[in-house]
Amino acid sequence: MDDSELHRREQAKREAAWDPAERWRVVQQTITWAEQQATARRNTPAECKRLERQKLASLPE
Amino acid sequence: MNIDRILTVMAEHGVEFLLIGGVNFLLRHQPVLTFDVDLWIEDTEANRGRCEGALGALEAAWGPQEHQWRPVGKLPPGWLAGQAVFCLTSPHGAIDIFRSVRGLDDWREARRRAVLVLTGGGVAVWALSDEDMLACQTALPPEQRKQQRTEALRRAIDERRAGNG
Repeated sequence: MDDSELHRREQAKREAAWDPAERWRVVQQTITWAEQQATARRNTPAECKRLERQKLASLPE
Repeated sequence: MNIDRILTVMAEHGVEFLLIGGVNFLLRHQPVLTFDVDLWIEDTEANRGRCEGALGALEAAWGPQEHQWRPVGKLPPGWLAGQAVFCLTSPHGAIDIFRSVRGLDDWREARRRAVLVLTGGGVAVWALSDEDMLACQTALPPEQRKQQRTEALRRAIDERRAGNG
């Protein structure tokens, strides 16, 4: 078994072992942590207005 | 980010909405990193009113321009009718409210095709189907499409069809 296959099997095993509620809690905490690390933070007025303009521009008239 | 809280408050206020975007994909396919909760609301005056109430309860904030940012409770009623998409901040995470979605014409038809999903915290939410998520991706300009998601959606759809065949 090569390393990539071993890694894949290990990931699958971990996924199966997760308690779903705990997994969901960790996912949200991870997102919160990542938000705090990002140079351009998502949950800010500046980033909201930037993305809003982009999304409005992409919608059909 | 507290996705369960956002979804729960929207439901408590009777908002008719569909979960779209990265959180939908995360819940049903792969744990992608996403920094906002995307909600497509049924675009009626009554539902927009309910949504305004829910966003107020979530302490969401928005402004036409950055320097006008304020809690949505201070905006005049009916503010959600002002444009097709709103990107808001909130203590629970960034929230995007869509009144229309590129690639999908009818909210009620999408709702008919939607999938009922449970978050890990036990919150039930109607989420855009895989076929509709794929339609949204392919309707985007190529440079905005998320290739990983598109491929995963096509695989999931093919596998489901093969299983039903």
